[in-house]
Amino acid sequence: MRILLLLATLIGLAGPAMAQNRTLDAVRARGTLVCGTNPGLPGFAAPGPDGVYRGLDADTCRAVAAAVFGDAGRVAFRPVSVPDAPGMLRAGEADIVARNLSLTMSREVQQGLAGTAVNFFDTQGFLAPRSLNVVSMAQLDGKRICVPAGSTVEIAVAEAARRERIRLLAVPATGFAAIRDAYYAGACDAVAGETPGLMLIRLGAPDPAAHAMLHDVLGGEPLGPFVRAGDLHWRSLVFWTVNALIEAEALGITAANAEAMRASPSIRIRRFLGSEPGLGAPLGLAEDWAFQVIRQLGNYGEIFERNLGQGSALRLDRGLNDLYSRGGLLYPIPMR
Amino acid sequence: MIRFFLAAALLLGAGLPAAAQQSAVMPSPTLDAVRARGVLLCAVNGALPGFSAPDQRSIQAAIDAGFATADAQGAMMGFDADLCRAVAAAVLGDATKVRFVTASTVAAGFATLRNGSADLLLRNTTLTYFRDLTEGADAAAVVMIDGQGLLVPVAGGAQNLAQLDGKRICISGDVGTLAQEVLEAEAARDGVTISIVATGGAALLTALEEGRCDAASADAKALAVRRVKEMQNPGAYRVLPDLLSREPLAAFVREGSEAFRLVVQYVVQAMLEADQYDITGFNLVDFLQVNDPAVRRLLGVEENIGAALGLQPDWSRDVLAQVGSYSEVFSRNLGAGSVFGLDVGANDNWLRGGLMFPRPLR
Repeated sequence: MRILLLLATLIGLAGPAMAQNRTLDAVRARGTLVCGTNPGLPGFAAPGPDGVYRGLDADTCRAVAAAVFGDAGRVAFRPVSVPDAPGMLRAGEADIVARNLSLTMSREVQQGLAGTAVNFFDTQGFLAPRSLNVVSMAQLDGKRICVPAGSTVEIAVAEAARRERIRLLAVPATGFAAIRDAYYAGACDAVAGETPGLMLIRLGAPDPAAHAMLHDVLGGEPLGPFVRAGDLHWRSLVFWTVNALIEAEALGITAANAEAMRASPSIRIRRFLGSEPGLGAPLGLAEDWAFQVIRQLGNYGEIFERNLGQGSALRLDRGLNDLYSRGGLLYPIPMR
Repeated sequence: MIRFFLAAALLLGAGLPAAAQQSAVMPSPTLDAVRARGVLLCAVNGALPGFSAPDQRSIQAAIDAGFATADAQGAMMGFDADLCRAVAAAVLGDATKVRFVTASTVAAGFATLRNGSADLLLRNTTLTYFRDLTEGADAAAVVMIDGQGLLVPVAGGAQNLAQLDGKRICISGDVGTLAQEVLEAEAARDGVTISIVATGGAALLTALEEGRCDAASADAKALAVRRVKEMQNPGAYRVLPDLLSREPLAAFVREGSEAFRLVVQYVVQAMLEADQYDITGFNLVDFLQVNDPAVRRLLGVEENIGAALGLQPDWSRDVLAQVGSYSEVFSRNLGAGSVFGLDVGANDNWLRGGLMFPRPLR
């Protein structure tokens, strides 16, 4: 009781939400998972012409709904800005926020949020016209670079220039549209930013194929869904749901073969897919929760490809967001 | 309106007045207990050189100096032992304020957390689904990527599991059926037949030397250090490069010790982030002058996020100055700076090809 009270003090503004400590019970009673998302970032979460949210983050929320309800469709999406996201969770207005937020220390220790798993390793880099004929950062020596004014990207560009012993002429602009338009207008030779934003700039250009990302990266951010602090069980549930997407890819389980794989000779795969008991009880979920997630959403690779990769307009490479065994950073925690 | 301002202030963090930050310290019975006691209780293996084992030289020195009852506690050496010290440095400002509790098995390690005889468990223990959810413990951070490996005689010429068809493979009976499950699954995938011989944990390498099996299988890093420490003729054996499983070794705290879990998580992140900027215990002072905001935040020069955990503004400097960055700790205990000479490999920073991607301290 004392802990609860103190936690409530810590969160300060969350008062009523903290009394509700079993998010899973509330979600079940409501029959829907409320998911705070980006109002419109193609590849992560953006409503299509049909009003249906699509993207990696949207599918991450659907995966949690599939784990809880056995039904990926039971999600209500609530668009939210970055500044409003913590308050939304603390006030209990969302059960999860999956909106390309960095998993940082201040969010976890000062803002009353709990980080779960990384669902996207974001990088900062450069986009340049192919006609510039550059593939590496060193070749940008003496070039004008559009940067978001006062951002970590601007600092990273300056740091990288010092490290590479090259001269980069920063052209700062404020706001995504201003940076994009400066680049389109030729106010700079290349533009620096977060990879998905750069892909949007590329996508919006008259001829997207005339622009390419440089291979060198300036830095990276681990993005992932957040939940409210104070409900360890719910944090674990979201963490292991995201992990299950990656574990499925490592085990070779896809939406198409999940059903057949339930008869796998491997007890580990059968347990993962719920044809052998064990996986459900620790999270208070159905034995086949991971099976429902994979059958309905696919594994991480399938979700990535349709939203960000070759099946999408963005055509991002898997890059860091590939399995560790193929050179990426995705290293699923064993579900045994 | 007030709510908006509060949310904005929380979001900005840096803009919070010091008093507001102080009032928002997360409660933590575990941290309170550690501070009241003045010492961190850390459960370690205690018998695995490179990870945690009493330093024989310092014990001998103590005996030679006339201290007949050498205090092996202060002489615990290894990667896990140093991470215990790093947490003590962050919480108590003093890396030496650790009392090591040895746990002979994984199960015993989790029991020390549950019964309160340890605050922190760093016992080369793999994080898995069932351990995270059913042992009464919470994983605080993955501290090392490892995998199940094979130790084979060089003379046998086997390069991988597939070439051990029809052979006997020794595993330690102490680890239960997990190692066996992995071996059987991988053998089935490779279409080979192996027979598994369970030994006592301590006898694993002896069994291989005595020819009771053709290979020994355990976590690859443990095999690598035990090969050097225990075998009569280490040069006649080698650890194969292929890993048969994923073994993310983690630090665990008692379930529900949220603030303390975050302390442990971000101590590890700080050590990893230091590697990203090539900050070490030796050059730390130079970096205090650097203008990069990320470096200044990491070193607590201009913002102290740790205050919300009740940490001092210089907590990360204490960690780095007294214990070192992640790669320093790896190197001196297991890597190039140790007798084992293991490659940092997957445990390197992502910008250098490894899998370590720290969560930013901002």
